[in-house]
Amino acid sequence: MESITEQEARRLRRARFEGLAQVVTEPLHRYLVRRTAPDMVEDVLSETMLVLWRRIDHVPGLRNGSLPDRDEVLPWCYGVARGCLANARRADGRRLRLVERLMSVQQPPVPVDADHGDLHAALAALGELDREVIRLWAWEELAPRQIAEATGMTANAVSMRLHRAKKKIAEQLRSARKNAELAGHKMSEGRSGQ
Amino acid sequence: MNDNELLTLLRDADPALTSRAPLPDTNRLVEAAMKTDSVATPENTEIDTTNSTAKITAGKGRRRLLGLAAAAALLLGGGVTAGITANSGNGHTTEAVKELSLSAAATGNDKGSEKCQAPVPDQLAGYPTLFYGTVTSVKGPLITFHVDHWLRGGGTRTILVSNDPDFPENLTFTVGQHYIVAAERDGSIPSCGANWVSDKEWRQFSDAFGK
Repeated sequence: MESITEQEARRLRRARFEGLAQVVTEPLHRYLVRRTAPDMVEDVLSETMLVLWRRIDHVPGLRNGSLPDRDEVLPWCYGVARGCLANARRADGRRLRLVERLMSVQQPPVPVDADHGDLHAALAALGELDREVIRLWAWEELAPRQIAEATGMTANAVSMRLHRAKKKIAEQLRSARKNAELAGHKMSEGRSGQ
Repeated sequence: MNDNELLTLLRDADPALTSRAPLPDTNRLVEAAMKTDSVATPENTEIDTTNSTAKITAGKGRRRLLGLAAAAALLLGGGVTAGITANSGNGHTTEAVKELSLSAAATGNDKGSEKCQAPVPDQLAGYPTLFYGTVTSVKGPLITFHVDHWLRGGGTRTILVSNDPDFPENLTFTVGQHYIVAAERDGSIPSCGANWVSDKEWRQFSDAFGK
């Protein structure tokens, strides 16, 4: 039979998880919406919440009796979501490979809005880790120290990677604009020559 | 382009701004997580989030693909595709895991409406992969088996079977039920290759394979 101490510990653990969930669920949902197809978001979010519950004693910045500070807990939770998403992608990749062979169909990629095509192309041209660092910086609004916590890198490594990735994106965008301008010139020349 | 300009561009392109995904139901997620894993023991809190095969049953997204039924003699017909991964049996995938990487193959009829005969050892003995296992979870198109006995092939204890989502109705797996699953060398589960078995039928296999 469960002792009173065990019951109390259990109650506190549940309360900590509920408090954590209030603070992190929506940011984690947005994190996943930004990175994966809509039909995967809910499953991966559920998986992430399960891992958080299982590891509730390991979440940094959790205290009994008060809601956690989102800046303290979110980077760690993003790290969990990142792991769960990687697992889901591996599983989905296997499943898709199988289904593709059988049905010759492909799952449509994550939709990309047409207005920001150049930017998404520049992001896609980055390495996976560089892209994740940039997204955590811009979309999750994390500082390098927090990105380090989410990705398992050192803060120095994050800073260097972030610097490099920003530079690459800026170059890609410059180059895309230059190409667009050149194409525009050629079109107008073609028209004037007719 | 300076940092602020880049940041503005990136934030304008944030997919979360244009997403039509409904907001998550925090209370439901909390309940589901605690219900799924109501006892957080030291063993299961040390889950490896990068390699874990642990699954939650809370998500409803892809769960619609499978119904649940516990028929007296569940006969599974039609197309089954199988993606099988394996782990060491302790719930954690390890680097040493034998990736069976079973792949798909065309199977059975197109609707899965074909009913299969009750499995017999002779009929399935020729497959290189054959196991008697218990379904431990059904999550969308993914069915996790604990392998109770390997009859052909083997080495791992957890098998993940991917059901072809384009054939949602033709498979009904029930958690806790026992099945005999056969697969080709390329990993595909043939038509009528996954069968619910009664204790009596299992005894036939057990005798035939000396298990």
